[in-house]
Amino acid sequence: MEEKIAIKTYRDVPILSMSLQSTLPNKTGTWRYLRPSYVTLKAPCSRACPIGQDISFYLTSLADGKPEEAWKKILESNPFPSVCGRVCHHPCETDCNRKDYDEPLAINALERFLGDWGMKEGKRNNSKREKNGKSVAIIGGGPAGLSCAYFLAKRGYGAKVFEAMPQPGGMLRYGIPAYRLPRGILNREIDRIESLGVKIMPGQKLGKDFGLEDLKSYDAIFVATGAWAENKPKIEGGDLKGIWHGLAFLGEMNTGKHLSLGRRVVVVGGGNTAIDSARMARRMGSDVTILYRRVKDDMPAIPSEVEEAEKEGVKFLFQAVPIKASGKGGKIQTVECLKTKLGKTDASGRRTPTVIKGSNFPLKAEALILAVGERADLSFLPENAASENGRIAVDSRGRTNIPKVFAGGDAATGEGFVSSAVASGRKGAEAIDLFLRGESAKGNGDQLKTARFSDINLDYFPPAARAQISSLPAEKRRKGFLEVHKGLSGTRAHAEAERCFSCGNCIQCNVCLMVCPDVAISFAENENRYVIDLDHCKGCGICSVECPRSAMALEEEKWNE
Amino acid sequence: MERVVSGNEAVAYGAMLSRVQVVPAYPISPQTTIVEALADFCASGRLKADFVRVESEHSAMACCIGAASAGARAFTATSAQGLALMHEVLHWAAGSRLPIVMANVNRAMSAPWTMWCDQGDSLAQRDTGWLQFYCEDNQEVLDTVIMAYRIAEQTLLPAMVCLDGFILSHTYEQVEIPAIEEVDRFLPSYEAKFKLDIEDPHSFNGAMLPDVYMEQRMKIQEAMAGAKAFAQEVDREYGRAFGRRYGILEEYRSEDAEVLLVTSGTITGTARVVVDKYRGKGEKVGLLKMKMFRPFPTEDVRRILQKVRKVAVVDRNISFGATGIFAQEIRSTLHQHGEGTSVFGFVAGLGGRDVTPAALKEMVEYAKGRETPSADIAWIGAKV
Repeated sequence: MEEKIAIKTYRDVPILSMSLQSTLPNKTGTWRYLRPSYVTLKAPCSRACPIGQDISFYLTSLADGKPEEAWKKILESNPFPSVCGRVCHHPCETDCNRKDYDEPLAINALERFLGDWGMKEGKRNNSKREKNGKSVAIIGGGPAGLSCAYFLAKRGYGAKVFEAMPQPGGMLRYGIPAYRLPRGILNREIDRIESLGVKIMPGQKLGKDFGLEDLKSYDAIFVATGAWAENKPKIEGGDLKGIWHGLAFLGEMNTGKHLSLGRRVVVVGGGNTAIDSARMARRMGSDVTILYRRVKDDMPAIPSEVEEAEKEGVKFLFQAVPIKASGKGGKIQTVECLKTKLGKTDASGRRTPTVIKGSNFPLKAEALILAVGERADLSFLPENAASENGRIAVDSRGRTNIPKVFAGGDAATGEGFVSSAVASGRKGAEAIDLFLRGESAKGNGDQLKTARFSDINLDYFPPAARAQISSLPAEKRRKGFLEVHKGLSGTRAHAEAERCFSCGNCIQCNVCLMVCPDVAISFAENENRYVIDLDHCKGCGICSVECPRSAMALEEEKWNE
Repeated sequence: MERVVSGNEAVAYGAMLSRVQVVPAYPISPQTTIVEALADFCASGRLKADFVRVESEHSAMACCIGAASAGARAFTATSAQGLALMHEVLHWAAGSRLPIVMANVNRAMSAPWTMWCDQGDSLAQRDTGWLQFYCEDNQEVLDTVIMAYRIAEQTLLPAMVCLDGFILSHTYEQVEIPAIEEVDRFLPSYEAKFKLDIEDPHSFNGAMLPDVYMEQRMKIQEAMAGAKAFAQEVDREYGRAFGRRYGILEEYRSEDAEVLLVTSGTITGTARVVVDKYRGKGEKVGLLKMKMFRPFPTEDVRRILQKVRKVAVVDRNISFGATGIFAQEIRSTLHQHGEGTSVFGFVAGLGGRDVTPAALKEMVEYAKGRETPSADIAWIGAKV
């Protein structure tokens, strides 16, 4: 219909009214008083993750059938997906917006799935820069030290890790039991770090085999010696045979010396070391009771681990403390305890227990394991080094008060989580990199708003049950140290990843494009993003309101400015 | 394949076999099972269509208009108040010449609250520019949906296929369901002549000023006139392909009839029995079944009725303040063309009251006993 129509009879009238001209020159965008735009909010999972992983991105990639892309994304921020996917306390799941809808995403299990997928596929991810000629000494081959070495190596630094123990891994190897973290998995993740050119020197203990002064040739030093010294509760008769410290017991067990402690074992403490020790002792056939001075909800241990311990037959005795051990022939037979009552709420939000005088009661025990917390041993530090609350004092970027010396992990931050250690290793590597390039930190860090549950357009998300993780039956666990939890199958992992809201992150779902009544949104293939034709967008706002995940904003148009 | 299906399932099969591409629908009794069946077809993949859940019948029709404007074959179904709510957009569909097909399951209008059958809903939409077909049984329902697409897409007019609520919609009958490949041959995919194209955007349905609006209306009337002949042609073609024909209207034992019943919808089936009984007794009673109501087949009706002395029109509807609507149309058809014909207008079966053989017999006897009607309306089966 190019030509003008001359109408002489009704037959000349077209059957419908349609413009001869294209409507494109009509710039209806000038009617707009609201302007839509694409924004990114921080997903609460990423906000909660100590490592700050882009969880929404890798779950979306997995849901899109691109596991390699997902795996690469994780490796950008975390060298230990298979480890973290097993032992992380996963605050991401606690904060997942989906918990307010049906159930949180099984992020931890998906991280494990992707880490294991990379292993199975033999992926290496050796993308690293050219050697820049600088080298960094890392003291401590645990999660913080290895993470620091990994990120430095990727940036082109020579990274040498000094490890006191015969093998690297730190708490991952000598603290965490194999039924939670199979050693083959740990070894392979460490191998991948080594394959980047990281040198690991085992059997090198700071303060014994070398001193800080021996590391002068390095351009920087990262101290990540962990927290290995155990708090010792005052117990009368504490030198009797059969009394252990949790980490020492776990260290023996984890190096293959399987110790039978006797018929009845009492474990004191409420943290992960206590739970691990109890479950280990249970596997050795003992009747195990955990003694904790507060109540169950106050236990600092990962709740799911507490549950597993219960399933395995570990007993719990709350609001009680040991005061005295007694026995015959120098060997423990009885633990005398006191009951506690809960008093005022302390800074941690928990009520402080105090002992009840005269509430003494005995527990028969062939062994007593004390696991009431760990501290950092800082005796190796030079006298001028600053410390704070028993940890190495560091600033927000991991710098100590000694030039060129940085610190991280439990020796410095004391958060006690694997993921926090990995995060502090990465932060240390970034700080060292800036320091050695003579640059200061750019920007104000992450200023993104956190996406809340109310930001999600639930119409786009059918309810779907969380993936169930299958576990070894309790009776089978007692026969050895087989991994308790099984991984997700590819199908289940894919279905689980599809449940992700991708809070505040555009996943190119095309809803905006489809709902725009003015066809003013298009996808620019070359830029891999949506573009809004502001010449024709009338600012109706449907795109922004419909966006399932609040990755669009609507702001008043400032025509006069 | 023969299956025992309800009238509503027959509608859904008709739509599915027509390979409709967009189905926006809002449930209302007694139409609901059409929507359910189509949703099932979509979910199981038997029908590759976008099923759009909308918030009202007005939106359902608006969505059909959008889909058809973009060149898609669109389908929806409704009843009673739902159809009334669509009223405004029914005009828009016809005025923009979109070949949408809709099933209307005839249900009486409220208030008071009712769910049962009469034709008050669809006949109230007679002036919206939609083709209208009324069906006698479930087989005819299925066949008419398919034929309606051919007629609508040729004439660029929307089409309404009407079936009696419950009497057909929820009653199961044996229905021959044609193979989709055969339907494909009869009904090729729809190629819109004018459609929205985001690569070449144009404005549609913009203002037509007083200098052309009237001519555009004349075009619609011209298309309506053409639709009658085309519907007859489609019916013949359908008969050749599938072995079933209905015509736009059907005479049943009407030869030499002294009293001729005029019916539509399911009353026709009952009337066939009554006519057979009279003929069995040697009485000259016949039947005219009105399948097509819009366009009204004026010449055909006139030709048939001019020869008859007494015509008994059965209306399951009432135009308040006037008469039954079929009776009105027929009287107007015969004006100055059928002075020898007396038109008796009967109103029966409103709001689901049964129209029994006895009721139809009463109409015949009423006509037999009078030369001319004593009133414009005779209420049958009513507590007068």
